[in-house]
Amino acid sequence: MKALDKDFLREVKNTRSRFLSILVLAALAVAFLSGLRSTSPDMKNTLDAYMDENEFMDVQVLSSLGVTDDDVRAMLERDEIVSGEGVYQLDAHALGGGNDVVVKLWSMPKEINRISVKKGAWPSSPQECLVDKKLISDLGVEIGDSISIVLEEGDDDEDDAPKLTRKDFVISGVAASPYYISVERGTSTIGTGSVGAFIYLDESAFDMDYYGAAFFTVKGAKELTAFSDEYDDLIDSVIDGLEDFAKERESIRYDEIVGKANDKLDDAQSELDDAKEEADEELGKAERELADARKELADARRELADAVTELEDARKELDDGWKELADAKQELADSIADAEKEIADAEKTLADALIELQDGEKEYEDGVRELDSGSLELDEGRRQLREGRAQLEAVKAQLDAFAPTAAQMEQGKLAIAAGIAQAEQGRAGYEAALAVATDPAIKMQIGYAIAGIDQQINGLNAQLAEIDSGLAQYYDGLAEYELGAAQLDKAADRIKSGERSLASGEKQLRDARKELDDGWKEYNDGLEELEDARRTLAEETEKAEKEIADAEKELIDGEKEYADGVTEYQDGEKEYTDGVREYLDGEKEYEDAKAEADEKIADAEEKIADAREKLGKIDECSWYVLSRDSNPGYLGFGQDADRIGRLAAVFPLLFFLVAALVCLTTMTRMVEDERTQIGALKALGYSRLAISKKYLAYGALPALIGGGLGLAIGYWLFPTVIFTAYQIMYEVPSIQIRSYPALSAFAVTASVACISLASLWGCFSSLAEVPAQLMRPRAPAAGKRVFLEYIKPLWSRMGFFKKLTARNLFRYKKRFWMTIIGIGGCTALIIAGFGLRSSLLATMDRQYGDIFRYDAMLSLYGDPDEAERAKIEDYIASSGLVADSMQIDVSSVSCETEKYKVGGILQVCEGSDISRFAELREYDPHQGGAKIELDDSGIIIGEKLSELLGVGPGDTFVIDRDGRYRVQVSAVNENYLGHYMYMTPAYYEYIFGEEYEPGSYLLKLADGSKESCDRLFEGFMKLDGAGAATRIADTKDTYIHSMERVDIAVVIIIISAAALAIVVLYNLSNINITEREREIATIKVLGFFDGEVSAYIYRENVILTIMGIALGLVMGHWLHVYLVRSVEIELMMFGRDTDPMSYVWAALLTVLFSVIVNVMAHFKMKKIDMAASLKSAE
Amino acid sequence: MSFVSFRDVSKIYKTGDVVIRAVDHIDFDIEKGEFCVIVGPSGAGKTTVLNMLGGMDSCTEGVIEVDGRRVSDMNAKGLTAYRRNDIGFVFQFYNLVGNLTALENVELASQICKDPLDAMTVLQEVGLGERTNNFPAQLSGGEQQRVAIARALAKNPKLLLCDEPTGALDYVTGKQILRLLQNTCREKGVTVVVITHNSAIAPMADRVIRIKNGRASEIVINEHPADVSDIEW
Repeated sequence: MKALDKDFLREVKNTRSRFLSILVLAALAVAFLSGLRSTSPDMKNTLDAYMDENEFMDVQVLSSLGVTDDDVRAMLERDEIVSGEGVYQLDAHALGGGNDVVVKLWSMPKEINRISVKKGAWPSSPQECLVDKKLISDLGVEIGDSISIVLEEGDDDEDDAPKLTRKDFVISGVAASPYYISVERGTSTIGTGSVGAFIYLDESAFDMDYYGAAFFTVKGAKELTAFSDEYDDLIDSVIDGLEDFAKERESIRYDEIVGKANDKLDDAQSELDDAKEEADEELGKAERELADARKELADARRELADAVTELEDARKELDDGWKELADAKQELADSIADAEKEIADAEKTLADALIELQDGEKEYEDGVRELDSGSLELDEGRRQLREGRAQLEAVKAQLDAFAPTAAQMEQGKLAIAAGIAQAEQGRAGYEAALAVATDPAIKMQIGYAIAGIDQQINGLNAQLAEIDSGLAQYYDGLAEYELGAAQLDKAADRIKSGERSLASGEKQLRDARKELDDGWKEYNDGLEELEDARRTLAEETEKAEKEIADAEKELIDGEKEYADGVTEYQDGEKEYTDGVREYLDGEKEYEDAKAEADEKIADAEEKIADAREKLGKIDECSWYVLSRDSNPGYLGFGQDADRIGRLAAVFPLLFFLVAALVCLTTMTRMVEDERTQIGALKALGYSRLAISKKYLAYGALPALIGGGLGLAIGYWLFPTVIFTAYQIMYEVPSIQIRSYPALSAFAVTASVACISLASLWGCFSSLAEVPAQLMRPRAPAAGKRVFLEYIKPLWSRMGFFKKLTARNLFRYKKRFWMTIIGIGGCTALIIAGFGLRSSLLATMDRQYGDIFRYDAMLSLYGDPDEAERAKIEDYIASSGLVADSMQIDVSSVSCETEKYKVGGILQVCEGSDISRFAELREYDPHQGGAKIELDDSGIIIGEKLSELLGVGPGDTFVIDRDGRYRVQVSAVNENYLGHYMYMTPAYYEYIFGEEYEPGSYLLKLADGSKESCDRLFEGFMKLDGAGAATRIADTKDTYIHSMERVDIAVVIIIISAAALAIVVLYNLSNINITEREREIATIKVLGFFDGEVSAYIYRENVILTIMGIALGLVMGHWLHVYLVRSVEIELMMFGRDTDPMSYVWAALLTVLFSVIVNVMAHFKMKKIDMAASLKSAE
Repeated sequence: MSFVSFRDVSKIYKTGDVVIRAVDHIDFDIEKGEFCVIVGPSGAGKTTVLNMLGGMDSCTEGVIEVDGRRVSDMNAKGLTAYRRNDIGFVFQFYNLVGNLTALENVELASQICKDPLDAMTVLQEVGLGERTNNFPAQLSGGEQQRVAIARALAKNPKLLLCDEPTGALDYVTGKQILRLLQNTCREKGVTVVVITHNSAIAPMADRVIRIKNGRASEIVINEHPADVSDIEW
């Protein structure tokens, strides 16, 4: 190893702290530069990767008349388009958890703008949906809960058909969409005008015939980085190229829509006609009904009159009844008396009849006895007759019994005669046969047969004789019998006449008997009748009495009924009057209804006429082919990245400058320290290059190492921390850290170059001198009088040490400035850091503490009617929770000038009201600006809006809100968050030509506690028409939270600045001590105590530090103002005035660091070896 | 008891394993009001002796007493006070504060000690009455050394210690400075100790201490010191 190299290594070893301080400075500077500078591209690259991954659209097509399937297909046929799709889109209210949020409904994307599920799961059925995490928090619902979607009826929406096929959806998960990376959810046509959250529904949930938007990716765009110029140029050229195509599609769509609209109008017309007819019909019916009612009333009147008559009749009837009853009672008494008399008569008659009957009975019994003797005589005669007759009868019976035999004998006589004849004929035959017969046998036989026949004829003759004797007897019997019979008949006649007289007697008796029986029967009947009569009388009397009692009861009932009838009548009369009133009401109602119907019809007619007119005026369909810049999240992210980029543009350079300055001082000092050595080396014959190599290396080495270290830390730390902070505001994946060769090269080269050049400069100025000169101590810098000395009175009054300090300060000018700038730079950086922080926080405090003086805001929902409004106002007034309230109308609008276009919030209210609820004042943070009165002369806008639009009091700009309206700025007020504008209702009506109808209330609570606010809000929930209620403190907290995250970037800056400050101060102090080592040794030798020695040096340090801080305060202020403006976002104005505490903190920190460094210096000075320092020549 | 006494004093430097005995058991005395020259070759330990005597360094062994006070036992603070009130230093390279005028350089010393002399008077005494408002850079080497001497004298020290006061000066100027020192000693009765490698100066001293290898090799008392003008080198 060469001697020079050894020297270099030893130098490094022996001056470790100096070497390290250069290294740390280089590391800090490079880290800060590379870190801050890489943050912006890292952010953009990260987003680009995210966008590419999810196929984020390159262009989107919107159309004033909707995008159709044909449009999408036509787009896709174009060469420059790679892929694309149309999506349905609707604004609606989502209800759930008792809250209401305005949402943007999307159909689930397929290829473009792919979404991912952050929590939960993909929908498994069309009833399920994916939602915004904001919806979860705003509604207070969970995954698995169900929400209802309510569409607001669009007033100029021609399509009345429901656009959604179902209303209720179950949340299946939380989605993240590249379309919504920022918290901004865009504007809406409903509700308060801004969208609170998004919801992705299945495509089938929509029932629409056109898309809300169509998204496309462009060929070659994916390869380019988002936000880059190349990308923007490509997209611009594509959009330009689509111009003619868009026109073509516009006219197609226009024709289609107009045709449809015409059809629809006709339909509407016919519907109106129907409605008219229906109305007529209904009114006619109502009229008829009224007539009927009238008739009914008349009938009722008549009925009432009848009722009066009836009542009178009833009265009369009742009276008659009473009289009749009395009569009946009398009659009953009479009839009982009559009946009793009759009964008595009847009893007497019966008694007479009984005696008569008993006589009759005796007579009858005599008659019976007479009859009985006659009858006995008769019975004897009859018995004789009967005996004669029975004898006769017996003869007769014998005769009769022989009569058939006689007949048979007669016949037998005939038959025997015939038989004899026959037998004689037979015998003659046989005798002929015998005469002819020859054969003896046969003759014998014939002979025998003739003999047999002869015998027979004999027998027969005998018989004939017998018969004739029998017959003769018989005929004698007969004659006798005839004689007996005639005698008997004569006896029978006698009996018969006896019988006849007996029978007549009997008959007489029977008659008498009958008469008697009748008499008995009559008597008994009479008795019975009497009994009956008695019973009847009793019954009848009872019955009559009962009847009378009934009649009496009936009468009493009748009386009661009558009384009821009277009451009823009175009721009826009342009813009638009511009916009349009702009728009159009905009549009035009818009139009203008629008027209303007429009006409605007239309105509808007018509307149709308007619609016709409008149709005639339908704007040509306009197509909007928009780039990604139309997406607020993408745009905002790009702007934020640019903002960091801007922050990175100046801030690190200042940092770098301070670091370089200090390195320069250090290196210059080092070269000067080694002056003699350089001289010696030169004298030895080393070339300039060889000599300067050491110093070059001594500078370059720590710069390189530090630079490398700085790159490693910077590329990682700054983007990560800052991006993490931004992730609060943007829903994007974690940052992808990259290194940037050009940036790395630049940063490291710059640090190496700065330090190397500084050492070279020092080297060359030394090397220019001749060795002899170099080896001699450098001519001490001439002591000089400082200008203060010429101010005698002052100078002479200054103490010795003060003079010394003053001279020292002015003597080392280079060190003076280096130190002051170094310290000042650090202080400025710290101020900027703290200032940024306080600006962020002041924004909130001022906005929500100083400017907004109300505690809560209530939005009305769904256009409540007077009664609902009154209820809400009643509740506000009576709840006891609200100290003060006012009406206001809040809507989102777009503000435009030629210079700028930005969304804002228009608030319309009375000037006298708003002065109690918001502090409207001019922007002047130091004194608190003059108050501004809201009057009818124009619109008050915020400071930031005024700057963006480039308008001030007296200027005009355009408000775009369903039409363009030019308004005049009356004043500019202090405002930090959001673009609020104020105007009076009068000015509102003047500008927009429509009636002012406040849609919100601002509320001041009696006590601002969260509990009472919650109680109040709970009350609102129960009221119809009360919509979203917001607690201002909550909003503030939300913002403060997000700001606190952004704070991290600021804390990094503060820490970096503090680190730089420490290194710089340490280095400067180090140089100071080294440079003045001999002087310090001298005064030590002179007997200065350690404290006095330090004080001798400190005095200068303190003054330098104070001056540095003073410079730093000024620089810090400007740096802060610059930084605040460059990091401000469109929506916010940060507090631009630096918080006094920032100065205090920065100064205190600097003082603290310098105290630390001075304490270190104290020990260093203590260690200085007097003897060694003084011995050497300078 | 002598005004200054070194008894068996040693100074040992240890750097790692190397032990250097810069002063090795030295013994000597100096009486009050004497003009003492310590002479010896380079590296003999002259400066170490002077540093120990002046309280800029402490001894490793032995006892150093000055005016009855044990310097060798003093702590850092005691040594500082000792330097402040009792000792005046003059260096080879003057060591003036460049940013202060001649007068102010003298005042730098006089302002901190108990019983200072008037700075202006002292400057006039060293012959610089006209140059009081000049900065060191505006003065010649001899003049600068005079300022240094004036700075040392203004403290009204008990001991004036001079380390090669003429080392950086030419012959004539050197002689002038030596005369100034001798006069100071004679006229003001200040004990002056001068260190030099130049033996030629020895004759002008009341006492000459020769040092060799860290030891006092010879101590000579001159009954009749030579006048400066008689000395040549």
